[in-house]
Amino acid sequence: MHFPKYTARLSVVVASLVFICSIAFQNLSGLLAFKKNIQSRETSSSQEPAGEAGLKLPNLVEQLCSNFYQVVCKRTEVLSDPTGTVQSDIKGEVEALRLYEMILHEHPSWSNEQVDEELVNRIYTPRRKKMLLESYEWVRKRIIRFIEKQSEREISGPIKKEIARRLNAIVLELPPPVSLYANEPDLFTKNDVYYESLPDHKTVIRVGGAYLLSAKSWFNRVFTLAHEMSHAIDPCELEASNIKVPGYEKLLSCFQEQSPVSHEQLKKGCNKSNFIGEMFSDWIATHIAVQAVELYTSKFKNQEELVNSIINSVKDLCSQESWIETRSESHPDAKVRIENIFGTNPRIQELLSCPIGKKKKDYCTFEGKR
Amino acid sequence: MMQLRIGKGLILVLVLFVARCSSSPRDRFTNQDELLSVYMEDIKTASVDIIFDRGHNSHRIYANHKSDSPEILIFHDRQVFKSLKIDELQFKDLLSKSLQTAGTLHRKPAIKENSPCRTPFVITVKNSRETFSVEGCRGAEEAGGVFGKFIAEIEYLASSIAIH
Repeated sequence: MHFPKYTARLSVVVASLVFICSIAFQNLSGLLAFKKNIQSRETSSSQEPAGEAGLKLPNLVEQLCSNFYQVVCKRTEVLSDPTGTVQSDIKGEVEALRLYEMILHEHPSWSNEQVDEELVNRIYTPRRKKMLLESYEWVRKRIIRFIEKQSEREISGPIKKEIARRLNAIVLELPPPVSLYANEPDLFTKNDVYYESLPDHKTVIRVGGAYLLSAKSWFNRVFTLAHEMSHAIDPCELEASNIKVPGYEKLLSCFQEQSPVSHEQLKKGCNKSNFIGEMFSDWIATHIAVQAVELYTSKFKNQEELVNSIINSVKDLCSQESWIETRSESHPDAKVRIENIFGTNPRIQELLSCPIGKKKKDYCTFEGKR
Repeated sequence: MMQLRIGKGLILVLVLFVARCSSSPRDRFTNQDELLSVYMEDIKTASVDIIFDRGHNSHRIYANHKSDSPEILIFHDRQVFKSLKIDELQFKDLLSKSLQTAGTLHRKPAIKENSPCRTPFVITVKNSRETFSVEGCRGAEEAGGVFGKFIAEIEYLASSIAIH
């Protein structure tokens, strides 16, 4: 393909930014609000009231208890929890492109590779990497402990060891160097976070640069990393190694009984989609996210901080729909993920002080229903 | 006797027709130029559709040649994120590059055998006469990252077009 040289490259970035910004800002209530959000995110300390959109806290909690998905996904304002915020995907990508433009201005003689290297250095800073690595380590230990606590009847000793081995084997790949994502060069400016087992049997979790800019909430990072890490031990991944886990089977039967997963989807198993793996990973991530909120409970200054932390845990799950026809069911509906698996978790309901009996439903566990 | 001959002839035509329909263009056109020429002959109906998933995000780049104004559409969350007019030459370049990449991935299929694919992609190049589609898994690709580099190139091309 014919590409122009530096002047065109610079103009390209400028034009792209202008275009993307105009779309982003049209959709997201203007530049001023955006700047304000960016600032509050950077400081990670502002305390926007949860009821900013006119909904008072008691009403918000009541709505959360009865319609968790609606509250999380239909509200557009950015909520601050004590650790940060979760911006929309597009804002993270706009910010990543803005950084790219800045580097081009500062170093007009640099090659593409040098610009990419610098972009990576500015996005994947040692501080951001350290924070992500710390979250990652915390999540890894919590998942292992969660599995170890299960009864032998549901998960036997040798399988627990295998699960721990798999979790310990995952590498959280964070550039620099740029070459780390050599086969995913489009990832630096994207929000994608994903788990992958590579042809050489290495298992990795990779994090798009825009995600580091858009999701600063520790609670969101905990849920996201726990979800991706859980794929290493999900039913599809273990089935591929001929490992059957009684506890997993009970959990899946319960999902089927409670309808987040249909008989048809269970029958399809892991062949055509990874629906089962996604459900499972959401379920594990929910348990770990609950632990994160519990750990923070004594530090919350008020109920707003608690509520915002809970919402931010799953705020970025609202939009997700595959274009690939055969994978249209690769992830459960956002409503199922956010409400049926996360929102109805008994501990989440307790933490929100939801009225007992309201939307009370048996929650699936490795032992079946509870 | 005549009826029998006509019957045999019909069967032969049918067999040839079915064989043509069931084989992919890549099987019929041994070289890239020949395949490209089929699309060039009816370029007004040609389109390139690239879809890929990563994590819970789904991405799509779609280019078509409607009347005299080919365009590239880039989607974000199922909505048009960028819509760009391109010229004939740029569209031909894109078509050629897409066929080349799809051809490479068709020869060296990026398919995961033992575990689910979490980074699937589909490239579809078609016009009124032909449809050439290849799907695979980024994670199963050899270190070259053919698909990833292809996407980076297209995104750069789309951006460079925006200024003209």
